[in-house]
Amino acid sequence: MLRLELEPGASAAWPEIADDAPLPDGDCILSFARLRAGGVPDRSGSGRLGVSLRIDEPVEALAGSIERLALVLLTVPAFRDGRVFTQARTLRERLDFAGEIRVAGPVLPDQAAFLERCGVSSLVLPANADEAVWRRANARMHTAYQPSVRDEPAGPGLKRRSEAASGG
Amino acid sequence: MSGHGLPVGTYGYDATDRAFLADRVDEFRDQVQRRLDGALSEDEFKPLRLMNGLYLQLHAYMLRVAIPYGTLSAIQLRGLAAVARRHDRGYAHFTTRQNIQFNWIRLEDAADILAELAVVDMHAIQTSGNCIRNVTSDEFAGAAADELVDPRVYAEILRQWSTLHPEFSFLPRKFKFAISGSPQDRVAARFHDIGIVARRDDAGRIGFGVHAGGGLGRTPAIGIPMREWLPEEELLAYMEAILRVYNAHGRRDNAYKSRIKILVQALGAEAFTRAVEDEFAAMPRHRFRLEPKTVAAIAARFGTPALEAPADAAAVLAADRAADPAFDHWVSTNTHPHRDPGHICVVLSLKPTGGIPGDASAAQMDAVADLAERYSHAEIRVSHLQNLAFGHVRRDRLRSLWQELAALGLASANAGLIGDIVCCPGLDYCTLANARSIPIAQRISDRFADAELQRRIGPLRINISGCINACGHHHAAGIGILGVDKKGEEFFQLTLGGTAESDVAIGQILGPSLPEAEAVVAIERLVETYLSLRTGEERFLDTYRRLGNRPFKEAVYAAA
Repeated sequence: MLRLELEPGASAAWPEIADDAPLPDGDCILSFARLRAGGVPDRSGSGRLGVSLRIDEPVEALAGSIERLALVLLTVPAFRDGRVFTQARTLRERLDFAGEIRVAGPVLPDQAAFLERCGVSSLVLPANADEAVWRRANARMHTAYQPSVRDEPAGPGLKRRSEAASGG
Repeated sequence: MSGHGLPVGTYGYDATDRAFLADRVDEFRDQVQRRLDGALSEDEFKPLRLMNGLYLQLHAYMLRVAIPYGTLSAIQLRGLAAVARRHDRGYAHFTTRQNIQFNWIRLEDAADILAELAVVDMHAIQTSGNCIRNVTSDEFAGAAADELVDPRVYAEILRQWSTLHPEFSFLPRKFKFAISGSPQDRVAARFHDIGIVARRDDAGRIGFGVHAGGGLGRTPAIGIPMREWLPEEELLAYMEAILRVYNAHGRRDNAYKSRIKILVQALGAEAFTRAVEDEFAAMPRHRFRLEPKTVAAIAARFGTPALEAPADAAAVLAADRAADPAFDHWVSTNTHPHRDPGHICVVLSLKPTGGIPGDASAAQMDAVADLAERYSHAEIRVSHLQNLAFGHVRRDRLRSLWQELAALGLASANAGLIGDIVCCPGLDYCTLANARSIPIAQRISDRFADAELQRRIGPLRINISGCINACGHHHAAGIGILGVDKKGEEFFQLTLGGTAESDVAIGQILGPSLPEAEAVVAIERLVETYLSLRTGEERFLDTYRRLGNRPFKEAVYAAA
């Protein structure tokens, strides 16, 4: 696996814990179903918690527990499925989530800048992905015409600079 | 041109807009290269090329170029003519969505063509794909006497906002906006995913009526009212809310059930509206607020025409009409009142007798660009009815323009009449089509070639679609014709009573579909029936509404 940071400081790989497995020490990711059934476990210093959501699971349901989560992993089933953009944006804009949003699944390099502008922090890519292609695609466009969660400086009109923070 | 050198009627690009287009062309060049290298599969490349307007059709690639809100400068029209000459077969096709299509494109040339278009500030961004498409508007925008707000500034704002939108570029399905600034709906607002009507309140402030969930295609639907009055500053926030609900909840398992109209129907109008209003209430609206200074900055990039006409301009036109009945007939069908009494709006018919609706040759495009410079402030409009228009023609010069248009074959006096047929490219070009729509259009056009007969019939729209996707908007016509495949043979199904205007209605199927020759005879019988049953000046639509489909059905099927 290759991880592409869309913003600096995204954290390392966290293990995803099966629903029936005990929680290990250290940072780990639970499923949305486990979190929903059992609530957010008290980790009391033993590591941070993340949650993994499928594309059809409502991020709004995290509203009550979001402050105790450090990472949300969104898994895309197909690159055409644009729901992930709304999931990420909802986390940032409606739930005010300030932690890491990580996206896994078959996304295209041409979607990296869109994901970044919707608030995604990092991407999990196949191990054989060519990072240079991703960096180049993410740095391609220098202007955007609409607000994003990045609050880029605006004007004149609707324009804002959209150069990727880590696009090189 | 205006004093500032900005194009009249459309947004003048600045250096940043040009740099953006250059980046986009580079990106596409890179994507084509990755496809040719095998780094991108065809499945992965397809949505990327579609979002740059490139379709794979029956015989070649087709490139669909956006004409935002249907307004072009003379320089841009010449740029399109040059592409038609260099990369196509010397002509191009204007579509029902105010786009232009080139039908004979090679993949290897596509990035170069986009670069050539960028030289004249044009692009093919989002003319296809599951994203927000070209925003369409009224062909008489900024000119019509009945207009309350010039919709083009807002259409441009929507164009910019929707361009490479980070959240809404991979929607369940395509998404179409139309915006009008006149109470007379000339944009088919309620047949769009979102239809907007700009208006003013008593204090002169600008706001918008918003409809959503309309559309044609396989499941025609009339948009539901969302807001009677949306304040200007909330325009983008509210559009974000509608799109977010659609992106999150629209179906993605079946392409035929994935348009927003299906979501509206599944949830019901009330629940859908509530979902949008909840989203709107919860979102950080300050981020999306459309500030007056933003509107002003974009409006300032539009050139405005200096409307100066001699005091006797209207009198000269009246005298010219009295002196020449052929000219008088053309003026009565192919013009529209301008807000300035010395000016008039003009429809340039792309519907010559027996012609292909919406087609124009490169020579015609160049000639129209010249005429636009001499008669209409170098500005050309494209209508969703596949004609061209000039917005600001001096009344005293109208006869001279008419004579020049006649010499180019662009003065058919048929705007809004039965000869003004709307037609998709059909099976001659399109991979989706079930039937050829162009030949039947040509036969009907020939049959009703007599201008006197057309005038006697009066307002009657014929729209033809080669398949159920309804690019020819057949449901929105007094007489709609739909091509269907019956065991390998081309048949045509007739619908009656549709209109996209303010009294919006979806055409209803008349009866079993017919082979082409019989369908043409059926149209003749429908018209004869109408002429024999109408009272006074009653329009076809009103006769149909008064009597229902029974006499028409009998006329078509009883004798068969």
